[in-house]
Amino acid sequence: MARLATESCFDSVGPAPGRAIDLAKVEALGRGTKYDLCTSSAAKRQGEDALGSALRGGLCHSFTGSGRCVSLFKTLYTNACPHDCGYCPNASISAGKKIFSYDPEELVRITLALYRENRIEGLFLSSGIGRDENETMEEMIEAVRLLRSAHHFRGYVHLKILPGSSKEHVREAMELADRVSVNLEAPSSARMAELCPSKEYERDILARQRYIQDISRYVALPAGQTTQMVVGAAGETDREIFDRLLLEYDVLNLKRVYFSAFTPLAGTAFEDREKAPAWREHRLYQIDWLYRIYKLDEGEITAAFDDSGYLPDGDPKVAIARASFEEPIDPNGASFAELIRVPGIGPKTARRILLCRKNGRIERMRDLAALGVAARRAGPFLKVGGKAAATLDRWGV
Amino acid sequence: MMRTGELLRHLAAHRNSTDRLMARARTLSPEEVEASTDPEVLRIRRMALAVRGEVCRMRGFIRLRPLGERVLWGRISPHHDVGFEISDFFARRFPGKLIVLGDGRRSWTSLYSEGALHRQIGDGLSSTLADISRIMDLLAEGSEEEKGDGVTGADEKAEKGRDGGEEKEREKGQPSEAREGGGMERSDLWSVYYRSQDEPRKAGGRRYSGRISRRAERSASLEAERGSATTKLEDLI
Repeated sequence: MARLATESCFDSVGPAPGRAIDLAKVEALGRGTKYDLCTSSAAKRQGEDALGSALRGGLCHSFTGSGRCVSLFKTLYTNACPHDCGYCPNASISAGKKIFSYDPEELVRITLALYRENRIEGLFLSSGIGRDENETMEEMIEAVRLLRSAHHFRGYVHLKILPGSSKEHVREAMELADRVSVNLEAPSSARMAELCPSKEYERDILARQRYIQDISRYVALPAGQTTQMVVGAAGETDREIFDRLLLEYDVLNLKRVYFSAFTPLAGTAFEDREKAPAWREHRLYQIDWLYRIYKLDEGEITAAFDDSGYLPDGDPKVAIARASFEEPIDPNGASFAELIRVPGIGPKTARRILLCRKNGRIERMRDLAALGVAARRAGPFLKVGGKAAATLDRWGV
Repeated sequence: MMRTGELLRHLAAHRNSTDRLMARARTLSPEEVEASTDPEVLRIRRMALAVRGEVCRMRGFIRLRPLGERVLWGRISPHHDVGFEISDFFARRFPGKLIVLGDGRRSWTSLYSEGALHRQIGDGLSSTLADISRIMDLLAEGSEEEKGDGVTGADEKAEKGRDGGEEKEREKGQPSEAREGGGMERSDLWSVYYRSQDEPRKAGGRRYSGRISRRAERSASLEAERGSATTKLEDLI
């Protein structure tokens, strides 16, 4: 085997010749993407001369002190930016900001070094605009092209599309990446004016999303298009965010929308604004899940919002179930769609219940629990053994 | 739903697997495994899921280091018999590289080359790496001589080495930092990047509470990536 390895024609980047890695740059440009969210997906690319992948699902390699997964090398290409987004640490007015920028070879070296150590599944490359969005996109694309062509990298790459970049650059990015995204940041142009007066919502951002949708008809994008919104910086309601979500999924066919709770940062225009609570981000993800995965319709989900258009800090699925269930349902006769609307039952558990029913009736809560039902939450909504599984008032759940 | 082949493979690798459980598992369809409330079937499913979980975690948490140009090695002490499943995964991910995983007692070496997967089991990580280093050096010497006088083949040299013929003294035990190439720089790179990703102000309590469990840390032989401020009571028990 040792002989085989020495004779193998495949080669990869060896130890870096000469130049040391600028750790201050790695720190600053890594920190600049701290509020960019992503989940890694697997690339299905494979090949004898390939470096990477071999997996069909995402992997988490470690967790930060605050409990978030770190699975990609997530970095800005440059933190130079002429825009003045009030929440952003890269804004041109940020106090004491030192400007850094990678060059393509340097970025490739770092990515491959971390990948070979099995610390990351791939690269998440975002950026400030730099001098000009097309010039910066050109360099970002060159870095990914080097990874793919010169180093035969088949791992995951998520490339950000900069607002205002050309359609040609969008196409080149899509040919090289597994996923692309352009950050919406706000649910509407009115709210964008509050966050960042220098960005045009329709012309700079929505138009890029439509470019990506057009081009995806002839360029396959394995992990699709996504986007991200800042929550709680511009006074938007959760209902406004949900309305934008519907357009993103139904009209623009996005794979996912991410939410980032606003955190005021020193040196930015919004440093004195109130922080958005982390639970607000969490409740929006739950609504997103109910719409995208559970396929609840817009009318049902409306029940989760309060009168002023906000989501309270409680499980929206429970609020929706309270509003829609007239009486407990019998798990022996309920359909898949009815089962997954019960709090404590998800798609996997609902499928198991349907399978188990083929062998006979389910008469005990203990058996439902063995199939994965969260008995305490589901109890008030289920009729098991001929009677309601819980006599407690539903509102106690 | 787990396919039958995957179920049997995972169940066989579980440290508490028995012939009786394997025999019962062979009689089950994927639907039965997924949806039965029979306690023994539930046990079979949980055991298979435990092995699958360990494989997923090891794929995420093992750290690899280079040894020269052709070898990537990592420390691993799996709870179940999954050594080759993990080394095979990395061999496919890094074609042409020898993947050597192991601990003090056992090692698993895999290589994916020209469409074929090769495997070898060994007695321990240190001795396996030392043997590989020696063979690589002999092969390299052999190649240089071929280029020089074309008389002595690398095979002959390797044979002489194995027979205890002329042999350079090798440092036994763990590979040195110099042989790994830039180890200090690499660990600084990760530490700096990792710290740049943390945002304590966005800690979400139980909602974002991913941690590497103590058992997974031991199995993957991870250096401490948790700060003391985030140590929880359960970590100390």
